[in-house]
Amino acid sequence: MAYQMKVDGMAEISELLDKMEKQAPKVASRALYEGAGVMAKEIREQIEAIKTEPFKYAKEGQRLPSPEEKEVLLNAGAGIAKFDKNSTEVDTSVGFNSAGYADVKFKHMSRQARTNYKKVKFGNKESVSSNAMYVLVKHGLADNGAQNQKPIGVIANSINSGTSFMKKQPFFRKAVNKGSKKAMQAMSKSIEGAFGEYIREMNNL
Amino acid sequence: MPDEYTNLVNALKALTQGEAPDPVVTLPMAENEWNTRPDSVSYGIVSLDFEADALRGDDGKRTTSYEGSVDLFSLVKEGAGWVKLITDTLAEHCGGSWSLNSLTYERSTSLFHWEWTFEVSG
Repeated sequence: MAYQMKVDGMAEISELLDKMEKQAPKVASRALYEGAGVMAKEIREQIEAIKTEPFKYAKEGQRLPSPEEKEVLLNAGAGIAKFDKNSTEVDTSVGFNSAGYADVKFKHMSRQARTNYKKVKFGNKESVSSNAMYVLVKHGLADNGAQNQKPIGVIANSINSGTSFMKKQPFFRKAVNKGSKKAMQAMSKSIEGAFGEYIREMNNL
Repeated sequence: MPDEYTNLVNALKALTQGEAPDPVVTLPMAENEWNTRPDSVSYGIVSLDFEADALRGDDGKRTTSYEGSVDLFSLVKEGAGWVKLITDTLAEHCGGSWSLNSLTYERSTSLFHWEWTFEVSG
């Protein structure tokens, strides 16, 4: 004995699913952008919390980053990389990989000033004012072009992971830990918002 | 096993077996004992970096997990045997909650720098 079952609205559901499939890459990109934005904001907050001290040569032990180095990271922001899309997935990254280079100028005593500071005369006295000792010094390999600049990614990594002369402050790991849950929520909300209309339509069938 | 290394092992053991009265105090103690030795080929730093997560209940924190890191600096590319000691210790005391975060080379000091991160419950 054969049974027959009739379902109303299957054609409409099929049509809606087709529409959703076509919309999917766009919706995924938008959600990813929202999530990456949350992460970028979290990273900025952690950069703002980085402790600094005026630049010094760390001959013994480790030093903190200088305010100038922190400023470089704040100005660079944590960039959202260009979206990489193919037919089934879309991905991006947030960080300093493509942040480029920056001039880092420290306000501290130059080598020349250190060598000659006893010879500096003010009036009749042979002395040195603090303003005379401290000058803006550009760190780098040469005095011209890009070679005189530091890669921003390297500055970020030296603060995040530390070096033999820089005390680590893992701002990036902290941001990822704190921000990943929030980013997931933002992405879910974005997807629900985009597909909500279709889901409501299906429920009404 | 070098004497100074037992401080790191003891600290990780105390943290992962819940014997540490205050994790924030325990690891810096290990750090002081196992820290900068400028004349040596290799030296390490262990630190508890931040509170990674917390489970709350009964108006308070029930459990807290901390993320920490072990840094090894060595003039020797292979790490003079320290790499194996550290990874063995992390595997024994932190289970799967650790990873090698980065391996970098400092051109200005000729030091290789390994950074492992781990997570423990306090």
